[in-house]
Amino acid sequence: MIQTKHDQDDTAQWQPRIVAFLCNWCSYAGADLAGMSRLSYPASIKIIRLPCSGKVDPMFVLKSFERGADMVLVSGCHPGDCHYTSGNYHARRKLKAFRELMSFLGVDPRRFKFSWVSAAEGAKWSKLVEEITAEARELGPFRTFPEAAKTEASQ
Amino acid sequence: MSPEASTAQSLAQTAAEMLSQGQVALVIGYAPTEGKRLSPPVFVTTPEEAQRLGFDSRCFGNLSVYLWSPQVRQMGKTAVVVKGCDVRAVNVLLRENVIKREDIVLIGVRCGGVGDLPAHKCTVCDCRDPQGCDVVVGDAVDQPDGAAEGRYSAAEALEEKSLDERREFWQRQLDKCIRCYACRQVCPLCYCKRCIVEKSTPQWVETSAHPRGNLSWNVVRAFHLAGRCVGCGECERVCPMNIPLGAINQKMAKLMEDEYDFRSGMSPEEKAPFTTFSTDDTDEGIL
Amino acid sequence: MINLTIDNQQIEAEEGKTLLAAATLAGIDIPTLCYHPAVPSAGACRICVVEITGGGQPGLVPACAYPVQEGLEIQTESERVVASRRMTLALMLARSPGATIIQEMAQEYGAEPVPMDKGDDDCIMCGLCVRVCQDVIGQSAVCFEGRGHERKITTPYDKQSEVCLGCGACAFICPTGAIDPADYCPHPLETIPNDFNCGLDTRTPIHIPFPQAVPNKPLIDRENCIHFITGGCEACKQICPADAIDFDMTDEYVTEKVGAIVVATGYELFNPDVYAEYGYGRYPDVVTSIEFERMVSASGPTTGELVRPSTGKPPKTVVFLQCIGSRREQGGLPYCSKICCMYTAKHAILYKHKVHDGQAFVFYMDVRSGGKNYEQFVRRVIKEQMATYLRGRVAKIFPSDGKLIVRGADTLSGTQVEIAAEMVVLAPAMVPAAGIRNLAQTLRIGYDEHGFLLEAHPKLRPVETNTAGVFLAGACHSPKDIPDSVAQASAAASKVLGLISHQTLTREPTIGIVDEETCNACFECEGACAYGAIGPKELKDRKGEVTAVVAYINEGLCQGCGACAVTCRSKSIEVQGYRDDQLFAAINATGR
Repeated sequence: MIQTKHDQDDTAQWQPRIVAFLCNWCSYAGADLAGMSRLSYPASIKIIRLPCSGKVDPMFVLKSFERGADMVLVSGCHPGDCHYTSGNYHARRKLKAFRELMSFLGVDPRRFKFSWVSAAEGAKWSKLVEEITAEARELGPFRTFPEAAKTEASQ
Repeated sequence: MSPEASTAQSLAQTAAEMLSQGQVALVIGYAPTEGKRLSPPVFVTTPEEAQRLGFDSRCFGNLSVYLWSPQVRQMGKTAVVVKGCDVRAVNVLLRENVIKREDIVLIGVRCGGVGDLPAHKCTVCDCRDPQGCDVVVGDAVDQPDGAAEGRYSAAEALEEKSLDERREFWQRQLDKCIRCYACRQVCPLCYCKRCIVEKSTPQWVETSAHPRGNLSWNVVRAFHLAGRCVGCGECERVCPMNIPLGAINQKMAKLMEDEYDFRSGMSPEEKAPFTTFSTDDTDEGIL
Repeated sequence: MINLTIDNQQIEAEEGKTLLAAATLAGIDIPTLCYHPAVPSAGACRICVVEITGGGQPGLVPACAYPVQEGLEIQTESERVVASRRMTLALMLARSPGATIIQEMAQEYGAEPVPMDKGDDDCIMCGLCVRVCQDVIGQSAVCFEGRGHERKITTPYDKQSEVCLGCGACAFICPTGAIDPADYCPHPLETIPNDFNCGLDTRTPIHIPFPQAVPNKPLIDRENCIHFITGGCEACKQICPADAIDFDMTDEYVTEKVGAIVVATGYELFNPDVYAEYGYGRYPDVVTSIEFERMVSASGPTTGELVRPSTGKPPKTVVFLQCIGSRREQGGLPYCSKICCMYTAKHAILYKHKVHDGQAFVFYMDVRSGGKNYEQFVRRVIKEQMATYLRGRVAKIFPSDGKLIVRGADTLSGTQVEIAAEMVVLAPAMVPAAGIRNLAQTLRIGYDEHGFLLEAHPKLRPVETNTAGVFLAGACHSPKDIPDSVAQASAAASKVLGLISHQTLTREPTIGIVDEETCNACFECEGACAYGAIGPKELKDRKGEVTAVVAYINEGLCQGCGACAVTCRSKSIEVQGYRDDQLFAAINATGR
């Protein structure tokens, strides 16, 4: 059986798992720049590249939580700078509603982050990951899907 | 003659005329039946059968749900008996190209509210007089006072609770879900040829009655209805496990009204908030 | 045709033409005062008299009014003619001794003022203004009044005319410049600054926008044209021999379907009046580099003569200031505008060519002369002492005794310098053209914080944008000089040719596709698409009958953003390369 970090519930050792959905043109490039600039940030973040923040479906976020994410981050281009002109505006509207819905159903909205990171903001990216990792660590493991770890291990 | 009897007579007469003159091939209405808790739907194809039509406070159902069923479409032009609130669902179906206005005839019926204790939606109803119908029958009815207040009372009551209380509440409620999808089947707006839960490659929502899939299903259902749900309350009514689904729908409807000044189904021309955006949308909470 | 002889020269003329017209056509010059080709002749001033010496009644006749006749013999400079003109001019000189044209003509004909009451009126009563107003403009705002020596030209009852349009035709046509329309005109004519010359001179409402314009045709500035303001005038229409004036022509929107777009909107100059220390806008002798450029241009406001705006005399000392707004992180723009070092060196040379004994100074931060032969060019300016280069910034410019004191630092010698300049030339930063952000948003291309458009890749795709089919050329992309702009424009052109010379279009494979089986045809995806790539598609059975309508994504327009896929509730749209099963697998992988 694979032991995941998630299962080692020793708070000192415990590293949160953050799934990040980044748009290809701004935030992914920003994260890339952070790497090229040799800026270090916690390895807690698992990046999934999408063409646009407007491609983030609430299903992706739900599935990430189901799979044991402690926090989900969606990051796109700053307003007005979307490579596809308006994808981030669509995302902003939908994901705000999604966050409110999750909060209404008792899911801590702090576990769902949304940010604007441009291709030039490598430093912002690394700082952001530092900050949200610290916050996720404070929030502790996400337990709304109590069976997640078990099912995962049996797969 | 009682008001109910006179409404029934006008309905029967209108339907019989439409059928005999060949204006429509089918009339969908209610058939109030002695001793039943609710008046079941009836599908009338001949002028004689039209006598079964009627209307009373047991007519809960939103008959617009039948308008897009393939069997009904096959029969040709269809007239449907709609309450003022049901018209809103028809408007959404029209704006989403599910049905065409020229394919249907709307027989509006003035409604004083359904249920013995009027249902919540009826106490806050502001559309008892059906709008945009081809024919309207029934005696004039009064709108309840202060309809806008308490429109979202169920959602607001939960919003006042703490996050932990809400989590506990919903965990208990959603654990009950048996994934029968009655909520989906009765919803006039759940018309997808293939529901997302039936998409198996990949299977975004687990289909077994398991707490994990239950939350996802209910989140997805609410999200797919955001900016569309007209608050007919049928999902909650038919839920065999009595999950307060209406509160979730109210939450989303409240958000749409607060943020975008939008109430779904008020006209067939409206543009739903999720199909558009504004550059002035809030950046609040975005890092 | 009619045959006649003018100054012993056999001439053919059309019937109905005047002697003046016939003579002019034959290249014989007859002096005139009250004649204008656009105005019916009156023969009022008698300057154009010629002598009929044969073929008709002998005597003096006004050439501007007398029609050609078969066999006429005309002398235009005979003794009688000259004597007559001399007398006419002598009388005019007595009446209007101050009018330059009268003085000149009187000198030419040797006319002395006759011993009569001397007048002080420049008006010679030729009535040309009355005729132009009445016959050309059709308004009759000015007229003769009184008789004998009380006769004068005025508006009715000497009041401001109600019918005057303010067209200024009277003042324009007056041979002696005696009319100032401001005296009686209810619509005072405003001078219109000439934009192309940075407002250093003025233009008329009808103008050619700039020298060598293509097409090199005049246009009417509707906002200032009397016709468009009052509905009257139309003098240009009357006068145009080609009948080319069409008041109905308007600006129009032209819709074209194109396969590629090259953006080459150029640049503007940062407005230096935000820096109070330089006094731009306050001191007339502080000018920008583009104003200097126009001043030294042969087609400029002074036809190439470099003069101080304050005095009209050549400046003996000029100070050039570089990096005005450029390379200034606080209160300016952080980037280097790239072209200023080179054009300032050029301006120093031009200045020396115009004012040989002048002295030029250049305040610079660094001289950036990267480019073929650029360094040598700057070196030549410095070596040949065409300008004194001072490394440092200017702190203050203030006027003193008709000059501008430029106080700055010379960081190389570590001293403060003060130069009494007669002209200061600022080299403001380059900024993208106004409205570039709107354009970029319309074309769906990116731009940076300053408004410069973004290339697809800084090294490998410097001409393309991230939007297929849109290319960049010139200073809209970044500050650039002419050779760089030409190079980029050539590259853009060849990219376009590469694109449109193929039968098929190459696109990214990552675009959306619709599952036609499950599409609900609600077309909410259409609203989410920023490219207008989604429309209806009819599905037909074997008999060709429409069985269903579904959404269809135009693969040429789709850019693959996936907004439609998220909007689709039935998950009937997939973006290739980001398919649901691929993303599902990616998300699953995060759980391990």
